[in-house]
Amino acid sequence: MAFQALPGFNGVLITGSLTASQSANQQDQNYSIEVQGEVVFFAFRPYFSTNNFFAPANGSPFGEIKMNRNQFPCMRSIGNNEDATVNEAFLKNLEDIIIDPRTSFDASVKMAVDSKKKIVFTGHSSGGATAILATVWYLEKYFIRNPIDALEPRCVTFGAPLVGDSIFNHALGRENWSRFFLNFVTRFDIVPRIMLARKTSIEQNLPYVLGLLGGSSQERDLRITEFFTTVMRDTYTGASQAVCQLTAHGDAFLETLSSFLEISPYRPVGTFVFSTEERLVAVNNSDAILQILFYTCQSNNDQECSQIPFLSISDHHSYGQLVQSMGGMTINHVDLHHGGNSLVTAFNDLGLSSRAIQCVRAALEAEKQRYKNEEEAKSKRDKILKKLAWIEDEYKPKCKAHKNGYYDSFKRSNEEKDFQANVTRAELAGVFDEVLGLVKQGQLPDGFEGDKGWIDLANRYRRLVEPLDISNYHRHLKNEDTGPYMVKGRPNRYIYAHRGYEHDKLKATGMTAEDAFWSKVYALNLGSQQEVQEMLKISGSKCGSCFWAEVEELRGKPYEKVGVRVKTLEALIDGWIAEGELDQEIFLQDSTFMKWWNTFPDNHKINSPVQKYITE
Amino acid sequence: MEDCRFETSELHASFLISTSLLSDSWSLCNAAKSTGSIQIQQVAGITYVALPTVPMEMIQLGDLVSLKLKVDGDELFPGLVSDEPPPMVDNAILKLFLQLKIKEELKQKLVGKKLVVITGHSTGGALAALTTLWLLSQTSSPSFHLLCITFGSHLLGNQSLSTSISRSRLAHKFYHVVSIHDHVPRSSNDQFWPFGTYLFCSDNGGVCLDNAASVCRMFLLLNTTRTPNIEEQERYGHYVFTLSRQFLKSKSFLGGNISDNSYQAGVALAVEALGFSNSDASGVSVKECIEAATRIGRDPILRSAELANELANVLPARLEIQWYKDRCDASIKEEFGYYDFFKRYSLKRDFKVNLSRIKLAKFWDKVVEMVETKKLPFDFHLSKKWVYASQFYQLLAEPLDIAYFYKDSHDGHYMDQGKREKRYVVLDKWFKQTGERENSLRSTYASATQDSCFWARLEEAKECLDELTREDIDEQRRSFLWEKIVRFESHANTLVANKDVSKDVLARRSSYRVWVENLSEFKFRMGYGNGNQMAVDEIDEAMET
Repeated sequence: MAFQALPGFNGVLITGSLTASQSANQQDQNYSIEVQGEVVFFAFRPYFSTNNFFAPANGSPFGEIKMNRNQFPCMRSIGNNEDATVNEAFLKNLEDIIIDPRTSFDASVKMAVDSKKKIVFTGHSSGGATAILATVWYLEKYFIRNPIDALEPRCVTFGAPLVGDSIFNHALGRENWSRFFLNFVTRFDIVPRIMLARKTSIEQNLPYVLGLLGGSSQERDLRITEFFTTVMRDTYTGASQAVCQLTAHGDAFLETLSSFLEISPYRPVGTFVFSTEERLVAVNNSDAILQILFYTCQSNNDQECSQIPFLSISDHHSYGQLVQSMGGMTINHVDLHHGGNSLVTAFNDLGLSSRAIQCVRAALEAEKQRYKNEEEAKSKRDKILKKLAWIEDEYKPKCKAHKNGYYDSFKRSNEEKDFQANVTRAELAGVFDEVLGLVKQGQLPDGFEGDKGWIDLANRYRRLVEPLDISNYHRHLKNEDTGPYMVKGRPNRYIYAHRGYEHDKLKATGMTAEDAFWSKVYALNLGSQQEVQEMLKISGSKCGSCFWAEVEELRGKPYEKVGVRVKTLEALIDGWIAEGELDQEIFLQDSTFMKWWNTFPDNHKINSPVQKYITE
Repeated sequence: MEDCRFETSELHASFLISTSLLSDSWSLCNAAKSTGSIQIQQVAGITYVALPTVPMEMIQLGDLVSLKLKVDGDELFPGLVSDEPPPMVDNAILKLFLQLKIKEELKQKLVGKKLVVITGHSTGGALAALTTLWLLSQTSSPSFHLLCITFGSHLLGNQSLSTSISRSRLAHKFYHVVSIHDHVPRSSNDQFWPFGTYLFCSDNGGVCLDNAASVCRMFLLLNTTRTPNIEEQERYGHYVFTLSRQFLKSKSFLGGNISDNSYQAGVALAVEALGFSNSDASGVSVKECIEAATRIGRDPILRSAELANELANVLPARLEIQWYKDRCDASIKEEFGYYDFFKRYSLKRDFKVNLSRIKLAKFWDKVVEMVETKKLPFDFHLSKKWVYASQFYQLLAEPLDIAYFYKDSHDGHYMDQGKREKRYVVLDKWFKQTGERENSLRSTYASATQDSCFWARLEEAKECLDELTREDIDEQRRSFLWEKIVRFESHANTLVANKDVSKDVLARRSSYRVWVENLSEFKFRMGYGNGNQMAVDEIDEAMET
């Protein structure tokens, strides 16, 4: 019964994963491949040495490291433009397998892809961490290029430690990949909690405990209690901070206290299935899982309290039993779709206290609020569309009367319609700034940033209205007063919209927006890469809707000095027009651009790629 | 309480208790107490500074003294925002602070530190708070993160001190751990007032309250319900260690069925954390106190969110005025700016602008009133969004208010006592608190004249000049008027030279230009030379280039 309650997974995948993980445990190889019918299991072996949990040369308090954007272009936030953080040792465990010439891991994955078999990455303990990262690697390398159902991977872990931070989790949510991850955790298992502790606080006892976890001895040592207590204390701090962030966000005390503390960045990803005695509870809210990881280790019974540290070791070995008995068990869910009694039953199953339930509820409420915020943001859609339509269908055509476009008309602002446009511009800015504020504070669902409809709307807005902002900026001569638009003036709402657009456009190519831009520019052969890079370091050419900023920046300067930038700009115009980034009205005969263009030397004009747009 | 889904006072306390900050602080407090001297110790990257506890019998607590004092010629607390009445602290604590040479002791030892916790127990706690305040109110704020943790401390100062600490955004740096049985923190006389966050603790847990009114209310409540225990002063070690060790024990709710409403359930748990029962009268009072604290904390935030919406709604009105100004600036035939235009004409366009002016005035009156009556967060007026918005508004709109004042007949002058709208006086004050604009040289005239009262000053100077040209005035009056004129002339010259005026001031027939011409004519007539004529020419030149 339990198998059907987990969408996307079934008995074959779960029991197969367990078998594969168990056999990987016993091998010398770093991973093993098992084929069962139409499914290929890649199972990773766990490691039990300190160096496989904390990379030796890593100086950060939790052994963390930023992911490389070139290798993992999706694993970042769009709003804050920050790369995800993962445990360096876990990442290295995976890289060793991918890079190691003795293994043919990548080739085997490719073969599985070509044979259209279902791919499952799995592992027990730190092998589960490798499986999670392998899945991410697979998603970035194969799935994103061909996102069809048949190629959707699955990742099943048993007692795996946490791997990545909240951005890691957010990125998976944005790409709608979280649903591929399923993690089993037996109630007291220490391993899923280890990464919530500071390296310095557990360093001393870690080798000993890992030794126990790797072996099968039933020792009962004071060191175990000490280790467990230390891990749980740090887990408590992390969980308390997290719940304060959910309920009292923005309060100054949080920032003050947090600056004095080292708190684990790691967060759960995907769905967690907790088992407590005879019951199973599935949770997919990362914040709620974090609370549950802490609170399920509490007890109100002194006798039990003294046993839990030892259970925290033995529970790490009870996944076989768990999966075996799973078929006959029911699963209760802790999520937004299962309210009321089902939720209460799930809380009871987990043995949560009133205080613990409060904290889990806070996580669910925060999620609900994020969906509400999203709904509210999207409800402004019609208002936005109406305003954009006014600019597009009324303002722009009216402006053409002067043989130049709305950019120039707005810059002069001579007429009532320009005033109306300014009000519209300001109102739209208010709406998009508000949404961006929510994004930056994580007050929207992870999926919001991946929503095609919103990306399109935000970029239609950017293309249409950013020229007005540039116009306004130069109308008030802020470029002289404050600095170039691209350095000092460009509003974040446009930078953000553009970033989302580029990400969506490029993710299937595995290229970053920067790479894509430079490769286009280098292809123009305007000089050495270094020179060109220096010259275009800050340039409106990086984005079609900043066309006018580049024109304003260059037009006051002598042609000889800015030739490279002029040529770059011209070379990009074709593509921008095709993409809808730019309107052909820039070529109207009295536009600022054309007046400037006409001053170019004749030999430039003859060879110019925009010649074809210009009718004398 | 609909907007409030969770009770945070206990969550806040749990977070603090989950850390080792309290136990590490307490250990060092003990050392400071037994040695009688300042202790400094490094624990896991944090520098703890514990101040010694001086027996209460040895000093005379309870007399307040102003913080505006100088030591060796320097102000001791130069950075503290002070309103009337002045912030004051306990005289005995201040004396101790000076006697123990804490300043000298710490000056060197904190150099290069990143995280500093100042702590103390009992009188040492008050001393720790004062020391922290001293570090925070130097003209350059400390280069390290600073936190103050006191245990069973006396109150340090008056209500005005509490307010200015909140208004300076410093309150969140102070934590005061107080046992519900300890009478010392609540024994100060009623001139004293708490500030910062109070962690009230019992054997069952703790609750954090961070607004002064709620803390006072809790003090009163404890005075009537909890018998003071003299030994309680010595039991902080017990609390710190018991509470920090309890975390693996799940606490079930003792009061029977717990509410389904998360907020209500949270409050009920908080009441139990303080060692009260939800079913008796004193427990109910505690419950009410915590609920009130939530309201006091939450309402200002909700109000400020509402105001942000309203600000967005009045945006078109501001843009209307901006456009009006731009149109006037751009028009060639009128040759003067929006101030003069608005003062002279009552066309349809001016009528519309007047409506916008009134709309904005109404909105900002409301904002100012809400700040003055403390209905908004303490630091509302320090947030960038509102500083910019208010600045923008004032610079753009006040000239119109001045023009309106001088439009027809007017009684006295705009700058006279009580004539200028209160909102502008308040907005001026906000702006001063956030610091002036950095003095970068302008390459072009400002988009709005940086002295929003420029035109009012001009109107006065104009009247002075008019009066001066009459012949029937005596010598004394003459020199008085002349002095006023010279003062304005030089003020205006500086603004113009720095390009701190907007184009409209220098429009060809603006009141200012006319005045400058009249003045130079007057000077010429009186034989003062034609120095000023030069200035006018220069302006012309500047405008044309």
